[in-house]
Amino acid sequence: MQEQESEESLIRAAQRDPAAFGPLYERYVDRVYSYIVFRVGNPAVAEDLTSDVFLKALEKLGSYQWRALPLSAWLFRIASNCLIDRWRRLAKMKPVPLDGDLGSTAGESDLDSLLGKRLTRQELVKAVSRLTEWQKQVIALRFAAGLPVAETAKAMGKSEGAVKDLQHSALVALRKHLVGKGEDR
Amino acid sequence: MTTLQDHLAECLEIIENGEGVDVALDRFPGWKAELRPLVETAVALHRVAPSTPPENFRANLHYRLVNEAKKPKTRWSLRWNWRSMVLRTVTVLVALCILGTGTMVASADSLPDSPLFSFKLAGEQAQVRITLNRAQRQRLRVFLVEKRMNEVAAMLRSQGRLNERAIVLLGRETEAALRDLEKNPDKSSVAPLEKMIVLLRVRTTRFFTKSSGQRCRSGSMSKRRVAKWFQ
Repeated sequence: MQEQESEESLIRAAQRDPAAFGPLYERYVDRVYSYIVFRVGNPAVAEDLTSDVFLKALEKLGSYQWRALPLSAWLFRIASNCLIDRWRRLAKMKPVPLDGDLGSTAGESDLDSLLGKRLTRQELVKAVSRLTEWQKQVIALRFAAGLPVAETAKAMGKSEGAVKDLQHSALVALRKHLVGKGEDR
Repeated sequence: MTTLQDHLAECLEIIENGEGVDVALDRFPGWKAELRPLVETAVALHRVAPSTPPENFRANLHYRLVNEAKKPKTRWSLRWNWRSMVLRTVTVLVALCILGTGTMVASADSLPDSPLFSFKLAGEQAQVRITLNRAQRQRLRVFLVEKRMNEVAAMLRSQGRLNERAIVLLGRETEAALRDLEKNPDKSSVAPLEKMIVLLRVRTTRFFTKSSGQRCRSGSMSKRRVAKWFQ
């Protein structure tokens, strides 16, 4: 509750004086970048898009209303629209290219706990690429951006029940793809 | 009814709040077997999916945002304001035109006792002022005299007596037409105006003959005025 109040006061301060946008940026930049890099798979592109998201947010902050949507959901809607715009512009770029290079944490880190087998990030990324668009969106918001179910629902414009269903079906599908990979080895 | 989806979401929330996987699963003993593989997948995702942006990128973007925020007004927004001002002015003008045209149309058949009659007179005066051709203007004046005359007749029919205002307006219109003709004699306008004056004389004479002592008091202001104009 206190956190919500402090965020509200930060937003009001930034709406009065855009120079006070800094704390809001610091609060959300990691999550927005993480969400975008998970969706586009390319750190350089993710940096461009993250810049676009925050510049647009700064420009539109005056018209933002707290009651209509939490700031996180609002920012991720902007991010989602930026991604859609980019994919429309660059038809060649696939929605989730998932080339295995997921930014600073990409490298050679392995998903070693899953089923006791050593699965690389690249395999996880390939598994994610086989999900439906809504499932990818839920996985990106819930696990890359770290949004709770309620905020994920608001960012996606869906009900919490629908997000829980999508989360479940996405995890079932991912598990299936990853287990299949493990057994193929 | 609580479903596996709800239990999964609840279980993940417990883990996200810092509890271990086993502790979270113990809360749902009947669902443990189904939940475990999904929770393990989610935990793996939680560990691998998040990425942090490079520090120099973070700092550069912060600097860029601060600079953007300091800009008082972008050229785009100024242009937008200018456009919006023009748009507002045009909207107001269009609204006034529509309103004005509507009022003029509504007042076209109004009589001197109608509140819309002033709009009709204003419209006519504007029409006279914008008619620059002398002959056309004088013909318009003659037409307006005829109009006033018809109004006197209409008022007479409806009220059963001469309307003071209608008479005054008829006098003014006739005087204006004659003045205009005196200043700028135009042969083509003289004939219709003379014809008009004759017609007016005939009509008023007929009226005074018909209504003598009944509709209009003999020697009244209106009668004297009308008589004076045609002397």
